Amino acid sequence: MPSLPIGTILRTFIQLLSNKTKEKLTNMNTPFNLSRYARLVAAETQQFRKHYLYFGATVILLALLNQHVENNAFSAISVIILLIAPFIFYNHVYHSVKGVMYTMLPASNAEKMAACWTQCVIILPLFLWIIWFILRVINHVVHPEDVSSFINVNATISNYWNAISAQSVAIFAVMAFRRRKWQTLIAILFVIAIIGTIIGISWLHAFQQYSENLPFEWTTKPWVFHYAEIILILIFPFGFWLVSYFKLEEQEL
Amino acid sequence: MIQFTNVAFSYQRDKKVFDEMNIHFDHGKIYGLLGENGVGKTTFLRLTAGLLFPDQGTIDIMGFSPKKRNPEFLSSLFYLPEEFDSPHEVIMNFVIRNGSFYPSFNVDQFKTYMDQFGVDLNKKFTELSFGQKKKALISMALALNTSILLLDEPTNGLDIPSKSIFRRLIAQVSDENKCIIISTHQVRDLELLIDPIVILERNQVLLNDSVESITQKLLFSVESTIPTDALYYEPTLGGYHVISINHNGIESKLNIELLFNAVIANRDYFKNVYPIAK
Repeated sequence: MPSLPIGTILRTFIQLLSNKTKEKLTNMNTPFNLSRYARLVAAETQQFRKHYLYFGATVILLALLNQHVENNAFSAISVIILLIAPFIFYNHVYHSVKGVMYTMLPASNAEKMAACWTQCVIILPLFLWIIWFILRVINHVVHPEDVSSFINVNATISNYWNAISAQSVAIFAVMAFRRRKWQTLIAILFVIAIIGTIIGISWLHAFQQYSENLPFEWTTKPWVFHYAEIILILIFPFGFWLVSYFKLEEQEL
Repeated sequence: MIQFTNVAFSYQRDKKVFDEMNIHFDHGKIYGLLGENGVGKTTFLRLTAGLLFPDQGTIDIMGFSPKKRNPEFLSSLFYLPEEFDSPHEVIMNFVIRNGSFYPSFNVDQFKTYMDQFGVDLNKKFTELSFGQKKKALISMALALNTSILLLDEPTNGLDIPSKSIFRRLIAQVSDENKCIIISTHQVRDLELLIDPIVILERNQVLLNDSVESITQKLLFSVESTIPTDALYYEPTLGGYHVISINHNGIESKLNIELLFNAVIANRDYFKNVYPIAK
């Protein structure tokens, strides 16, 4: 597998997209056209370049203040950026003035959603990863340490996955709520947290009365947890991505 | 080309903007969309562009439903709103980036129009005045060469020479395959350009007719006294601008502002009698 590095795949993908953006658009009657999608991704990346600059500057500034760069590529600040990015990038989706050009742009909703997904789930994390890598190399030169501890792969992948799972809810909020998107999302999450806590506590009380051996410990995870994990993955992020697409289809200005 | 069938639309449940609205727009024409404030001219354009969805009825545009925002549909229509966003970027970059999505976009055409309006391509939108921004977006709208062009108050903010350039450019780009709909209150700016004329009233269409047909049915004249059969009149220097029913088939020059005021003052006549009058 190392003979097929991620870099080569990425380079090929970027080359393909880059070639596609140069083609003249002629076929407009397909619901998904790679050329249009690539052009949309390129156009949005160009449009968001200032935001990328600010995100990069924030990460660098914090690294300078800390005088240390973690071996986890997606540390807290990167996760926060991934969570707030959809609100910053796509805040105009329901704006009656700012959203007109975006909505009228000749691309299907599937292409627009795919471009949004590419921006939030691939390009931004990749950008943050590159910044982290450069900072980490500098950190390594200034404070030499064991090369094997350069990157914590497991923590990086785990944080990335958790971040994009949570980010899927942010994307949903952007596509679903017309105004005060993040405030509405926080309010809803707050209500869910309170209800969840009340239900959880009541459930524990009920369980305590039923069993005298509480607090209990399981030696292995009960089977129901495996199913719960699968269901959670289906909801976060896949379910929210899918629902976001349907919300984009319903978008009116 | 554009067909609204029994379209109903409301922003609030009890306040309908359109109810059972039926209207047809053909290609090869420049429609003037007139109406008092708040009758739904912008709403009509937004429904046509697929930015709003009808509550009831169907909208058919060249076989497409605007609601679905099919890329082919979107590439054959452009809507220039009255208010627009000012992107923080150079005009040329913005136009090329967005124009590349439209198969018929012609960058040389855009440069020519910008040159005619006298706006610098290499300036940022944020450095331009409202009128200059409007000129840039009008140039872009025309250079996209879409089959349907929806312009909401395009002459607002334009200086006098630019209004004349705008009229010339619209006449230049208009052809048999295009349908241009211009919503405006500045009827005098576009008097010689728009034909047919559509006058909207809350919930419905009051008038949708060509200039030729209007002048066959109505007589526009200046009289020293008010004729007894006058449908509508307004005082002017030395007499009255009068609209009366054209019983004798006399040719006269249409005065759109007068017509608009006459339609608003005689709603019942234009709703019921005018459509069947010969």
